[in-house]
Amino acid sequence: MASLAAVGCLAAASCAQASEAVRLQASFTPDRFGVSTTIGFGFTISNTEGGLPAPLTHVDLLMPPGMNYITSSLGLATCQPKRLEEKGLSGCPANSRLGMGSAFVEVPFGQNAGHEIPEIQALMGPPHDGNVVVLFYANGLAPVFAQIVFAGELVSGGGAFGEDLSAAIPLIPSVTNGPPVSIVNVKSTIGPKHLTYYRRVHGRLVGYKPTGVEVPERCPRGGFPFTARFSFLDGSAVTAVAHVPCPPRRRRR
Amino acid sequence: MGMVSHSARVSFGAPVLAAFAVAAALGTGVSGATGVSGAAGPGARAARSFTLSDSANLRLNNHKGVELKESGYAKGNLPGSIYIQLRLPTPHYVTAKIQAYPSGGSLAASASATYRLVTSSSASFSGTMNITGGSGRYAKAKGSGLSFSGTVHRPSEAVSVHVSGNMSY
Repeated sequence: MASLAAVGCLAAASCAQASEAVRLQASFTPDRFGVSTTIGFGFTISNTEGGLPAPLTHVDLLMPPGMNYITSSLGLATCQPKRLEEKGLSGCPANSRLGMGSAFVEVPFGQNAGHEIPEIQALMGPPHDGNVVVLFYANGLAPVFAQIVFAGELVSGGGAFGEDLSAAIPLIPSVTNGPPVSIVNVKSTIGPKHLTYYRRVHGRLVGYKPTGVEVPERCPRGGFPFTARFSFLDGSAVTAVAHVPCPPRRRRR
Repeated sequence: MGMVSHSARVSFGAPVLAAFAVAAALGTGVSGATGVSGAAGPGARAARSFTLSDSANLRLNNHKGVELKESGYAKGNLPGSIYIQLRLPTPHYVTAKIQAYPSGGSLAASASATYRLVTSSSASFSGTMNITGGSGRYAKAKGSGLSFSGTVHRPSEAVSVHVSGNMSY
């Protein structure tokens, strides 16, 4: 696994307004040219003036060009958001799972009152306007909140980047009718690591490992670029960049 | 849920990844032919033009990166073997190189189309195709802006394509 992180912000205007700083991380596992991989990404949000960062409201994660989710065998079944809300992960087919992760949030009262969200699941949702929809299911623990479902849509990124996973983040109440929590750390994966899909063979369900997005055969100078734009409840925005270093070329014998 | 083959069972030679199938030959018996005139001079024959309408159900031969190599048999007014290389650089756009082998020659074409996910297991594409060359009876084949559409079954990566429009040869 290889990863590299960079702290945002890139845009001067955003930096001038924002009191939040974001460290973005990205990785490929395995990290070799032309192989199916699991994309790992994560971010840590801090407040440059001390205290808690403002609640996160939107994330755009721009993938490197040449990485196309649609040519993987991930997400061959659809998870319906309503079933996910009602029944949790058991309400969705195993073949709709795309990845998993965890998060850490802090409540705006008390001191160091951090709470881990031990389970975040990424699942294939119903397509919207022909676009891939990724459902995120956060299974939190009391007393902060219970289960939350929100969606991200894979839209055209434009420019030098590939696809843009654009997700509106719901405000997470700290207590009933209380102020929202601040997300300070998220880690997640998209890829076959830890996933098992099932197919029917001679009438029996057989487990198998789906194939992930392939690492492109060509690596740009400086590595594969990931860029993320973060928007916060206080109106500020921060852009952060991370590069996954180019894998070593195999020597020919 | 189905299986996905990412290993190459068939290695195409040079001609293969070239294009989608259209054309092929037939001297006189192309159904749907509208007839058209042609060049002058001794030995020159009149170019034939007609409305092409061919469909094919293709099977995955090889999947590497964002490229799918498929093959099958085209049915319609220019039937014959067909090979297609689909390239999906993004989830919203597909390009294709097509090679078709109707009776009496071959046809090469290129296409581009927008790509849409219909369900988690199926996608569709729709765009245009241009004939880029040919051999034998189709050495002078021409056609541009032909309709190019189809579907992709994600679990098997099988592709169905349909091409229609006016061409001449």
